[in-house]
Amino acid sequence: MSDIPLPPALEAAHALDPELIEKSRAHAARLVAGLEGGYKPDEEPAHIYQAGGSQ
Amino acid sequence: MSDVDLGYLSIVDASKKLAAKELSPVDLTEALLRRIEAVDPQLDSFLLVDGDKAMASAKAAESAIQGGRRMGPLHGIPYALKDIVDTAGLRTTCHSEILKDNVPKQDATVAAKLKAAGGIMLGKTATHEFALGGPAFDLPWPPARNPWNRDHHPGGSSSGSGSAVAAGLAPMAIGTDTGGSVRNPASCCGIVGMKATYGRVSRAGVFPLSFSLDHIGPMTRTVTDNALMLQAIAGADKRDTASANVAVTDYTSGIEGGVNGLKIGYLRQFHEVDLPAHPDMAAGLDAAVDVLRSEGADIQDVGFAPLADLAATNRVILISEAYSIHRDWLASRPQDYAKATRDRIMPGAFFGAADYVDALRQKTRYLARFNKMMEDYDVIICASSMDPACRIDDEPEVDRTYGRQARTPFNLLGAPAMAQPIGFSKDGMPLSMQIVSRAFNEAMIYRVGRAFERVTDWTNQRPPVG
Repeated sequence: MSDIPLPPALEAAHALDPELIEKSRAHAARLVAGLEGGYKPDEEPAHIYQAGGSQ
Repeated sequence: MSDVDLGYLSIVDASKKLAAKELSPVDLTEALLRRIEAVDPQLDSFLLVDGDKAMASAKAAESAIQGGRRMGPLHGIPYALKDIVDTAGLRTTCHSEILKDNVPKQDATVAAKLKAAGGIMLGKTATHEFALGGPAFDLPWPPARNPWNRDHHPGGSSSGSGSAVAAGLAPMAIGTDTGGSVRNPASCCGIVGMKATYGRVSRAGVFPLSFSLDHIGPMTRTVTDNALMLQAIAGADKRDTASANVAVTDYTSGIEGGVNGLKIGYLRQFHEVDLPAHPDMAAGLDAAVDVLRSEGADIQDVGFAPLADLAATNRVILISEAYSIHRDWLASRPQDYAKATRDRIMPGAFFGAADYVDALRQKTRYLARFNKMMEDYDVIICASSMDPACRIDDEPEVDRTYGRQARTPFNLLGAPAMAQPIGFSKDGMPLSMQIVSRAFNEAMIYRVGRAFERVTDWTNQRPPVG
């Protein structure tokens, strides 16, 4: 996650705002740290098109 | 009636008058167009007003009603659409330089449904760029303002819809909500905003922000008006992969049922422990819960996962999906985005595939906890925003307070959640609560919201915009 290199396609955005990439990398790392983690192998992801587990 | 009184007429009252032929859709639409011309230069809530088409629709509605062909409660009622909702032949810009000349060929399903219900489309409303970011001054159009104090922001991203409805420029508007964007402007502007269950309202023809979190919702000044609007736009749609094949409930038949005997959980942890709220907001929430208790509800404290963790899960999913949508434009035209939008999408470049899957696995855990909790309660009451709306030009304060909210959990959970006004801060800015329930239980939310509204006067207040 935080060690993902800058995608070449974002060089123009980087040139526009040199701080953006590092701020974004740090923000992504903070968000991922908010996941509980420790998922067991059989803990499946929620279907992305699902409300309340009822569909 | 004066233009001001017509502007603040509820859908319920306007509909009665239209059905009784005491009011013409033409007179109502003309009054609102005059109000938009007079008031909106202070608010910038509309990006585009289509007066000619609105008047043509109003005349057609008048002719149909006069001829005994009234289609229902929304026939002849004007509305506005957030400018990420496609309108055939009419510019849909997402409030962005990137799509400033975009003219869709087909109406979004929600636009088609309002048209089919006989509504009169007034125009397209301002939004945060692509329904993300924040109030921005580096876009082709200015940001919408809050009618309670035009120096303050109106919330977002459905900022123009919230501002226009609160200012009596339209009795109803469509907003969209991926991390709270119907409920935030509803909270900031003192109106009612419903994010219905995921899949309840078709997303077809609405520019996506995050496929698995996007919701479309009604914004109105009263609870019953909101129920009427949801009734018109809810339902299965083959154009939307996520559309739920679940029967649509009658949202108004039980709306006057009151709260006597209902079990209501008060999720004060969100605004007392996780993100301590502004004292006016905290006091307003306690007072609102006291009103429901005095109406006979059985109120019990409940707890749930920490807001910060819920928000992080929402954001990993939202930003990953948003980055997937925007990365080609971010590569080729980064200068055409507002700085605030770039700032919020770019972290998506730094999530790994496993991070995204982990967030979806985390969502499964939260869904299980939420569904278990909701076995014991009819609805949950919690905060929406932790703070009243701040000044629109105070960028650090906007950044600080935008994240201090309790709306993202219910995008993640797909659960219906409604923001409703509960009073005003000492500075005169609206305060709000959320009413939340289990999937597809919107009728219960409306029943509780209406019970509160019936014994309070918050939805009848008018902002100082003339």
